[in-house]
Parts: sequence; C-alpha cells; structure tokens
Amino acid sequence: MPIKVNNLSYIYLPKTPNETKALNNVSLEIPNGQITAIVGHTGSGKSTLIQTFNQLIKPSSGFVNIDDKFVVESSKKKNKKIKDLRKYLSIVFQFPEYQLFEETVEKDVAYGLKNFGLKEPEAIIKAHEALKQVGINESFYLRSPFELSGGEKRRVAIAGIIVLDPQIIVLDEPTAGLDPEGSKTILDLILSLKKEGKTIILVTHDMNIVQSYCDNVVVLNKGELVFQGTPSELFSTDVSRFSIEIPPLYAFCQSLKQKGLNLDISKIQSIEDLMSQIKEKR
Amino acid sequence: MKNVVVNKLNFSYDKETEVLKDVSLEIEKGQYVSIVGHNGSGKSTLGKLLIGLLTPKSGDITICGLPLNKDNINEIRSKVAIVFQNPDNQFIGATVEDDIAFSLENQNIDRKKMPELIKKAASDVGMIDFLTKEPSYLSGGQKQRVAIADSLVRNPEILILDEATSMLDPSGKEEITRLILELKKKNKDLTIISITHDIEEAYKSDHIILIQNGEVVLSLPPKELFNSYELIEKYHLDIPFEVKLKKALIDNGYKVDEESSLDELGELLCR
Repeated sequence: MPIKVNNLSYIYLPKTPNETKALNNVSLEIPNGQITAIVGHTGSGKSTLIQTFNQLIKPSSGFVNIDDKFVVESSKKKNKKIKDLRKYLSIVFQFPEYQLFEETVEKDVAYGLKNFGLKEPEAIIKAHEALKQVGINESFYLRSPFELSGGEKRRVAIAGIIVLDPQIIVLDEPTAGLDPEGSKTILDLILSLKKEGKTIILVTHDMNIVQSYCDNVVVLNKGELVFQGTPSELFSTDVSRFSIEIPPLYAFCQSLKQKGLNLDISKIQSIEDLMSQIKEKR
Repeated sequence: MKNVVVNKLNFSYDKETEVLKDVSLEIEKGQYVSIVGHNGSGKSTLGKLLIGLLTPKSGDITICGLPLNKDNINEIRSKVAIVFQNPDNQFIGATVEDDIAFSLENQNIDRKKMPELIKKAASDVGMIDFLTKEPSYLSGGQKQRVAIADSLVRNPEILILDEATSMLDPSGKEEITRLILELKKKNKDLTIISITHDIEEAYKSDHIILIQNGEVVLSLPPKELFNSYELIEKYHLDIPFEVKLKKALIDNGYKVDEESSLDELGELLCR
C-alpha cells in the first residue's frame, strides 16, 4: 500500500499580504518498499511536502494517506493517532548531527525510545543494535557524541531514528556536506534498510544518487508536481527546463546509444552495470 | 614566467586558530589552476590574500613580479580580478552595459573607447544580447557571466574565481565551467585561479593545489592525482566520472590511453 498524496495544497501565512502557496494541488503516489527521490529547487515545496507526511504541518486542503493506516488532512480535529503515525513514519532532517545532545552516544540513540515509553535497560540494548546497523562500533558507545567526526555524528543521528523501527523513513539531503567515504556509508545503509522492506524517501539534489540508488523520482517546481516516474524516464525527457543536470553516467550511456550500441539504459545504475551489458552483447 | 609566487604565508583571523600555515606556491603565467579543499580549509582566505583584501601575518606574495605591499597594491589590483560566490552581491549597474562600464570608469578609461570595450567583453562571455537588460531579468549563471565580463574588460593578467559556481544551479554551473575553458582557449596568457569544491571542474584544469587545514598538501596536474588511488584515499577525494570509467575499462581488459577523452572511450566500447 503506497503513500497517496491527494490534491494537497499548503499556504503559508494565509489571508495576509505575505501569503505564499508552497504546495499547489499536488497529487502523487510513493510505492512501498522502494526508494523514492524528491527533487526540486530551493522554494519548490519539497520540505513543506515531507513535513505534511507526519503532520508536522497540516495541509490547507487535500490529504495524505499513509499506507491506508493514517490520514493527514486539513480538518481542525485532533489526530488521535499522531504518536503512532510519527513512530510509523520518521523524518531525518538536514544536518541531523546538530540535534545530538546527550552525554553519550548510546544515551542519545536511546532517547527517542524512552520518549515512547521504553525503560532504560531495554532502550540501551536496542540502541546498541541500531548503532551496529549504522556501522558504529562498541568503542564509541560511551563516548560523547561531540567527539565524533561529521560522518560518524550523522550515522549516530540516523541510528536515533532507525532504533524506533519506523516503516517509512524520510531523509532530507542525508549526504550533504559529507566526504565521499561518509556519503557511501550512508547510501549503503539506505540500501540495507530497503532490503529489510522499509519505504525510503530521499530529498536530494544529487542526480548521481537518483540514478544509482532510487527506484522512483518526483520533481517539484514552485509548489507543483512536474514529473513522476523512474530516474531513466526523467533523464530521457528534457530536464533542462527543471534545471536538472543529467548525471555523467547517463549522458555517457546515451552517447554510446547514439554511436549505435544497443543498451537498456533503464537498467544501468552503475559503471559495472554498463560493463556487464556490453559483455552480454559480445 | 611565474605570475604568482607565495612564500611561507601565515594568516589567522584571531590569535588562536591559524587559518594558513607556511603556505608556499607558484603559479605559471597562462595556467588554469584549481585550488580545492574542504570547508574551512583556508582556500578562500588565500584568494583574498592574493588581491590584498587581507594582510598576511608573515610571509610574502609576489604578483606579476611585483611584491604585494602598500606601494604596489593599486598596480597589482589593476592586474588581478576576482569574481565572488554570490551573483547578486556583485551587480552594481542598472543594466548589464552599465555594470561593465562601472568597471571601466574605475580605471579612468576614455569614454569614447568604452562602448567598444563593453561590447567585446559582453560577447566574450556570451552576453552581447543582454546589454540593456536589468539584473532581475537574468539567471544566476548569466549574472556570474556579467561579473566575469566586469573583470575581463579591465584586461587583467590574473582572473581569480572564488567559488564562482557554488551558488548556481547545475546548468548555471556547467555554463560557467564551459566559459572558463573557452576563455582560456582564446587568451593563452590569462592566468586563471579557480577556488572550487567541484571535482569535475577541477579535473578539467591544468593543475590542482589541495589545501587541508591551512596547509598545501598536494600540488600536481589532475591526471597525476587521479591516477593514484593512494592519494585519492589518503585525502578523501571524490573521483571524477572519467577516471572511474577508465579504471572500469582497464579492469575489464580494455587497452586505455591515459590521454583519451570520454568520446574516445565511447568509440572504444562501440568497436
């Protein structure tokens, strides 16, 4: 069961001179168990959109249906299931390492669990599991999170979310500001979460990530949905109108096709994929 | 001939943290050099020191044979132009031609000669059709082109780009990178120093200087750098697509020439 966004609009500061339509009648579907990218410029409405998903903001009109389990709509009624919703769908915001605050790494990761009512020993055990999953080893558990490097901090912050075991995880620019190694560990983690059956939503500017990791992509422009489909469908259309850069691997594959090589570019996510397709042709 | 010589430069904004430590480097006339480094490495500070916007704590800078000091600073600034990051902070005139003219007025250029010089600079950056346009009608990439025209019209010997593409969207970025390469082809004597984060751009330059924690740790041509997996790993660098592709081809038994372009690699695969 997918996430269904139906005619969603959101207006900041309604009925004032500064009224701004951040989202305008957006309808889209995000399938379960896959990685979906949300792409768009600053001001395109992507942050507003993800904040409606777990009702950090309420839509001005329209609704979001999460896996037929939760509905976020504009009504003034209190959503009784909001705590469950936020456990089911968690958002990792940009630069989550700025939100670390506890004395030790393990306490920081366990903090969310305790908020949801779990007692200390169990919470710490679960925190250790989550830390293992993000590749932070035991020697770090009792250290202050502030002693860690940027990439390590970010992994600890993400562990604080996956420890809650949400079914849907939204990550806003999870690799921004990380060096290549740090980015790769985060992206590998995202792939392993997908293997576990989680639904992943990635807000990103990096088209290399969209091509190599994502199953679907949604493009927003000035609050409106302008594209929904697979990455290779996106790159085969005229993307310059959304000022999206075609990733070098895709551009190279296209040039090979023009030279007469018969490739299925939609199946190419890496240089290795390209090489094996060429080998099969021989 | 050396256009820029920096000798044992030290700089700090406050007493505690040293931003640049014993930085020494030389840049040849007509070279296109990228200065790369992570956030806070000191690369932008170096750019500002080169045009005398900041004064070093110790060490010296020589630009086009002139030592950078109070007596020479005006002459040096007539030889060096800098383009900054934010396209909106550098537009002074009401229109594109006014903005370029402003640059000339500062140099006391004869008024009659101005229109011709403005036209040449605007066409060099591909903005000739926009002379009467106001900045609000221009994209970020177009505004940066005008900022580059403002610099070129003064006929500098050295053009410094201080993260000139980092606030642009992908197509704007590509636009400016292409323009830099064109400018270099047209004017072989122009020295270009590009302070950048973008590894694909740096890969296209003649020489890369890597700064980490205020120190120059590497200074070599891009091909040499990216042929060494040891260096890439040691300094946590991103790898340009072309380099990744060449490695994959070699691993798959293709004979790859180090100098081959992407297009030639494509031909190789189609054979």
